Formats: sequence, structure tokens, C-alpha cells
Amino acid sequence: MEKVAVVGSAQTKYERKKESQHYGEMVYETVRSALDSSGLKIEDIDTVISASCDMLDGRSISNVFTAEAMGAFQKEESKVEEDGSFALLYAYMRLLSGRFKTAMVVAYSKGSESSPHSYTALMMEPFYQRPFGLDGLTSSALQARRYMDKYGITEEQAALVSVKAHKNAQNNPYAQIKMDLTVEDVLRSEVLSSPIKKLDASPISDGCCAVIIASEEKAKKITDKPAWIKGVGHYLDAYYLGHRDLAEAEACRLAAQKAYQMAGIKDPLKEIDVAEVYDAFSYQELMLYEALGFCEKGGGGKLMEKGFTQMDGELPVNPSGGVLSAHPFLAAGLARIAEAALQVSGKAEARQVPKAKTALAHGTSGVCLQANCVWILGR
Amino acid sequence: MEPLVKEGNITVPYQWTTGPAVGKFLTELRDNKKIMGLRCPKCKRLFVPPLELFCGRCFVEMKDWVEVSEEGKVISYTVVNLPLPEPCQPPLPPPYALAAIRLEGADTEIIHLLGEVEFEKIKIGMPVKAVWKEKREGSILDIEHFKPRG
Amino acid sequence: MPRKVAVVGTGQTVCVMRREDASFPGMIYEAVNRALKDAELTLADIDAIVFGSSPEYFEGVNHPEKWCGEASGGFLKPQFRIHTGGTVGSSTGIAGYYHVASGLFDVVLAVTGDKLSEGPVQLCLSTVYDPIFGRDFACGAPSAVAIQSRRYMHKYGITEVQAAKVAVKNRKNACNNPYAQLKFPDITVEMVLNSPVISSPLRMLDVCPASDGACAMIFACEEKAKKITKTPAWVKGVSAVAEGVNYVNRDWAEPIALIKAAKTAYSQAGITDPRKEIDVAEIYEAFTYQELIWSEGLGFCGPGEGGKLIDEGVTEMTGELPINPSGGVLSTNTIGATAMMRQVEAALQVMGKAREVYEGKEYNRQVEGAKIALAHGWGGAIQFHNVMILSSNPD
Repeated sequence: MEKVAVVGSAQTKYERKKESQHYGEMVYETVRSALDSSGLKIEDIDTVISASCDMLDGRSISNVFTAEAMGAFQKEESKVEEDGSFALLYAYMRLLSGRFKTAMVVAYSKGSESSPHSYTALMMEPFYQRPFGLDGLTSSALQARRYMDKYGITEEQAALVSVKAHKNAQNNPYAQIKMDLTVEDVLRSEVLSSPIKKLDASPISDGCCAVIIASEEKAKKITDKPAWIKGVGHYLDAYYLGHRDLAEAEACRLAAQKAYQMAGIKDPLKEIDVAEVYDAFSYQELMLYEALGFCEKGGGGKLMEKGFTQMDGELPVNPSGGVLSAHPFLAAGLARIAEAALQVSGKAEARQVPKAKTALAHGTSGVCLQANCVWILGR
Repeated sequence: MEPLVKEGNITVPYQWTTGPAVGKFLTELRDNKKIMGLRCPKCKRLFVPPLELFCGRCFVEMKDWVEVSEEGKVISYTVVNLPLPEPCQPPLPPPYALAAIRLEGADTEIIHLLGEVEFEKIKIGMPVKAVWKEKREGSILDIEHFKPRG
Repeated sequence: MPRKVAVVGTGQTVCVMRREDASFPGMIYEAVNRALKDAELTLADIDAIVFGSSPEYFEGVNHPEKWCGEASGGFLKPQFRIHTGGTVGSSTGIAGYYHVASGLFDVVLAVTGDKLSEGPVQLCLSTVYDPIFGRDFACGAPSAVAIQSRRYMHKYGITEVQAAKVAVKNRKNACNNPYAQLKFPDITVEMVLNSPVISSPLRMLDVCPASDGACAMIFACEEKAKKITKTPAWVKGVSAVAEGVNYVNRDWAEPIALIKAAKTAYSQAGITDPRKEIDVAEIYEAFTYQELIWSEGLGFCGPGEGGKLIDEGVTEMTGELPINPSGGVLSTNTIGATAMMRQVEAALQVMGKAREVYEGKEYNRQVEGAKIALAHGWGGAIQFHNVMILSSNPD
């Protein structure tokens, strides 16, 4: 199979509101930055795949107006309406086919121009779930409570995730919310939808992320530190919230297994040096530790307590501050991959995990970890 | 220069087709105060409420409609404090409690409101019972909420 | 060289203005089942699923691929959604192709659909227009295409009569297609020219309907394709190109993205004379004038000769290069599935399966001896174009 690597990326500074920029300008700035920092020109890009959501943008066929901004004029182009990690998967498939040698993948959203509640509330079908105003927050709250009850996870264990996230964010120039928190700060924060409190939840963000991938021959010319794609898996779970056990991120488990199999990883906790996971809520990060095989079922809370996933732990999770520190819908998953690539390439500056050789990146789409895309990158 | 903002709204009226599974479930709520599920002939799971006429897991048609009890227990719940903006409003202003309820006989949970209960007293495993509206219109809200029983 | 990939099965629902008897996921399930039945496979044989549907405002549910996840066969399977506007059907087919061509999956199901009857279609289409510059003037899709049509008429002297002939040809062809929504066996050019003006120069009968429907196709790698069916439809060329919306000197009558997509696809398929080498084409003519413009962009004739092509009967069922034996988009337009139906119909042609008995009646739209077929889709602000070339020959 053709070897493909991440050869460059760019992220905007994630902010609550980018009021001085139109979507197109935000996208252009990011794509330009990705090209410039990789020493590439737009002519060097063979295909462009984007991720954006019509309802979030408030314009149908959202890529109509951003296609030019991402350099897709008279280029082979398509759009995946999922988290950006899935868009990268499609671009990866295009390169593996041999028809293309380089791809630009762009994911963006402006939560400030729309209603993040609507974004997830409108995902609910109109009959059984929408009449309750269910959205990402309230459904994740049901998930969190179920998870806590099934495995005895505590609010304190979840709070540790937020403390870690906002502390790590301080090393990330792109992150939005950087704070020095204590567990008490998290526990005392306003309860939004029990048991999720304000500091257990991700913020509303505007932002864009662009990632450039290239096939082996080209990759080696573009950079001397490519982050090779070693494995990838993606899976979807049941839709209606009551039709699955919300405490189990089964689709993520399957996605990780597929990625590990491709990458030849047998013991994730030992073989992975750093992970960037999509933690929209603190509890979800603990669930992800289990689904990704870092610990046994129900062991997420203990793993966090033992410090394994801290910056100085055996497997640092979210040195970037993760999604808890910046949550631009659709871009957040692609940003996890950009961060994982930076780690493997030794370019993560203040948030670099020393000697990171193998990184995991996780993206999710839908609510309550319904669809998952897991990536393994390595040197 | 001040950034210029254009305000707008997209309001679209809909006539959603429920399809035969959701249609029958809601019709039974309205006409007979019955909660029905569909059983998969292959995995034998009883889906309450059923989303479609087929089992998503086994990818086979389900024809076996089974009535379940209007009583069950709370598998998960959340007390919602945050007021949520338009559209997609809940039926009550906050604080209100949502729950995933396993009705007796069902293999899945139904998501609904918990009412007539003090929030601090809600417990996982708590037995609950449906409270029906007098005037029903073929909506999931024909059940007003579930209240503690026993 | 990419891995060889073929279409091994297809399924379509019968399209009507409103399916009262099925929800959106219900229609998707139907199409998936028909494709599995056609290929004599079960869901267990499918390695991954690609789902496509057009703007979410049509059904009013965001990320509908989640709601339709299980219906698309996606329970605990790899699945994601493509959405590129009107081209979504073909973009999804193309994504299905790349799933297999990448080597990551061997047998992949691609399914698309839309239930346009859930809401007001033109209002939803008006949300395509830019909210700052265009939306206050938005009049749905017909007015945008009307501008294109008028420009085309002006540039090359194309007439209303020539456009009307497209409507007559396609709506008559639709009578041979059990899945088509509008069938007018007695339609005439006069009827088209007398129909009310929607947005000049477009008249009612120049314009496609809005449909509820779904469509699925199964792609397989060479080794599996040969085991699954005796008549795979081999994918010889694929291209999906985007041009701009408001760029300098944009000429609406010159579809540069289509010209590029066609060139790329022909080059991959080794086609140098499309008019001669392509046996049948299914192209996305949501409006009559478009069949003429796209014929030029695809190189079936020179620039400005689209009208001549139809006058000379080249694109009739009996002509040198039949276009839209299925009745095309003028007869059925779900938007979501439409461009995939072009790929499905093209596949059926080269598989020799474009004839069937449906509810006791015989339907035959097969172009005899068709070996190479072209499928086309357009979308967005008339700026996205997809082309796929299918052949009965793997080499």
C-alpha cells in the first residue's frame, strides 16, 4: 500500500467570535498558512476535500462559497459533511488510489454566527427526540450519568480531565480557553445539565484547520519530518439515544481496533506516545481511554487519577488542550490530527511530548460519540 | 471600522412523513394510550420506541408489534438548567429532568421527561410510570411525563 | 495505476412527488435492499458505506446520515456522508469508487436520496444563495439556471424550440423507465412552448420536478466483482471538478469545470473521440437548455452546436449517441439521488440490464450493444461537475 504522510498543517487561533473575518477569509488565511509553512503553492495540490455543515453555516451547499478560498478552483474537489477527520480519510483514499499525490483537507465552522445548540438539536429526528429540545449537551449529560452509574466513575475524576485540558492549553498558541483550575473550581462551576457543569464542557468556537497530505515520493521532497499515516478506522453506532448503551463507545472501540490492526499496534498504552482525542465533555475523555484500549472497561476514571495521561505521564492525552479548550465544530477532529502530526514531527513547540514517535488522533461526528474516526501517525 | 453584521433567520415549515413504524407508535399513543414496540425476528430485541420497520442491527424487517408496560425504571437522567435558544425548544422551561427509561419488556430505553418528582430524589433504577395527557395528538408528548411509582 | 473497480449491483426506488408510506430512512433502506438483492449480496458482504444527501434543509434534519445510519446499513460499520449539492449523488458514487480503489475496502455500498416533499423545495434552495449578497434576491434554482439559459441563447443563437425538443425526448424516454416520476407519452414541442413561464426563458415543461426517492450502488474490487456478477460495469474514468462562483469573466455558457472534468475522465478512460466512442450518456439536465450546454462541455459537439445536436436527432434513442434513455432529470429529480441515478443508469446500460419487468409490465430503455457509458452531474452555483465513465470491458 502506498505510504502517505501529513506534510503540513495550519490552524487559526480559536476564538469565541472572529468578527473581523468572513468564512471565506478565515478559510483562505488557514490554507495560505498551510501552503506557506510547507513551502508549497496551490498548484502543487492535486485535490481538495473540505468538511463543513450547511445548517451551521446557514447556507446550503456550504462549499459553494468556500471552494475558491481553499484553492479548489478548477481542481478535483469534494466535501464530506462530517468532522474533518473523516474528510481527511476521503483525501487519504484518493491518494491511496494513486490518482493523486497531494491533497489539501480543510475543515471550518463559525459557532458565533449560528447557534451551537441548533447544530446538535437539529440532528435529532423530529418525532421522538427533537420535541424535548435534546441536543449535544443534554444527550451527553444522559451519557455521562449512565457511564458514572455503570462503572462508578466520579465527578472528581471527570473534573481532573478539565484541569489537565485547560492547563495544557496554556502551551498551545491556538487554544481558546487557558486556565489554571483546581478540581474544586470544576465541581463548583454552574451545572448546565447534570452531571455536566460549565467547566466539564467545551466552549463555543470559531476556527479553521487545514492539513496537507502527500504520497511517499512527494512527501519526502516537501519535508524531512513527515508524519506517516500508519492506520485508520472509522465506525458508526446506533442513532436513537435509547437504542444503545450510552456508557459504551462501541463504534470508537471498533475504529481503534481497525487502526491498531493496520498499524500493527498490540499494546496501545505502551506503543502510543501521545494521543489527541475529541473530548467535547470531560466524561467523554474517560470513556475514550477505555474505547481506545488504554485501560479496561470502566477503568477510565482510575487511569486519569493515576496520572497516566498527564503531560509527564506514560501516555499524555491532549497536550494541545483538546476540544475542551477549543471546539470549532467540524474542525476540531482535523485539529486533533494536525496536533498529532506536529507531535510526531517534533514541531509541537511548548506542548511537545519528548521523543514522540507514534501518535493517535481521534475525531467524532454526531452526538454521544456516535461516529468515530481513529488515526495512527508515526515516524 | 466597525465590523458590519447582517442578521438573519432561516425558517422552514415542514410536513414530516413519520413512516409506518413511527406513525403506528404515535397513533397508538394517541388513540389507545398504548406504548408499542417492534421485535426483531432475528436478535429478538424489542425496540421501544421503534424508529423504522427494520432492525438496524440485523438489517431485517420487523413485523411483530408488541405492547409494553407503561411502567419501567430510570436508566439515566439529567436535570437541565441551561435555557436553550430557538429553535428546538423543550416543552418546559428549565429546570426540568430528562431520562432514559427502560419500560418493562423493552430491550431499549425511551427518552422522556420526569415529572412530579423532586430533582434531588431522582435515582438510577427508580421505578416510574407514564402520565398521559387528556388531549392527545399523535406526538411523543402525548405522554406528559413519567412519574415515580410505588 | 488505481485498482480496478466495478459496479456490481444497483437499486432505485420508484420516484413520486410524495411518499406518504415511507420516511426518509425508510426510502434509504428500500434502495439499499434493492441493490443488495440485485448483486445477490447481504449486508455482511459490505465492508463500508458512503451516504449522500443534499442540503439538510430539505428534510429539516442536520447530519441526516446519522438518522439514516442504520437504514443505510451502517450499524457498527464504517460510514460517512458526502454532500456537494446537486452533484451529491455522483460525488457519493465517486467516493464509493475511491473507497475500493484505495485498497482499504473491497466491497462498498454507496446510497443517496432525498425526501423533497418534507418542506418547501425552492425556499430551501434559496438558502444556497449567499446571505449577504444574494439571498435577498433568491428565487430558488430556476432563476439561476434561467440566467445561464438566457446567456447561452444569446451567445450561440440557441432557440426555445431546440430546448423544448429536449423535454419531448426525455419525457418520452421516461415511459420506458419504471422508476421515473413524470412520463408524458404524448408530449409535443407545442405543449412545452405553451406551458407557463416560470422564470424566463424557462417554462414549466422546461423544468424538472421535485421527487422523493433513493438510489444505491455497490462497488467491488476486480477479484470480488468477477465473482459477484457476470456483467460488472467497470469504472474507467472519474473526475469531480469545482470552478468558482463570481470570478472575473465567468461565462455561464462555458462550463469550464465540466470541460476539465470531461477531459480528465476521457484521458483516464483512453477516449479521444467522445461522440464516436461513447455509446450512451446519462447527463444531469435539470432544465432543458442544460442538456445542450453540457453536451458541448462534454465534447459531443463543438461550442454552440448543442442545438444542432438535438435538431439532427443525434441524441434520440435511435441516434448516434442517445442521451438520457432513463428520462433524465427532467423526469425525476430527488436532488440527493439524482446524480447517482445517472451513474446507475449508465451502469445498467453497459451491464445490459436497462430493461425489466416491473409490476407485470415490460420496460425497455436499453441501448443495444452499449459498451461505454458516461454519467454526469452538476451542482452548487452551477460550478461543480462530476463525470464517470463506465465500461463493460475491464481493460
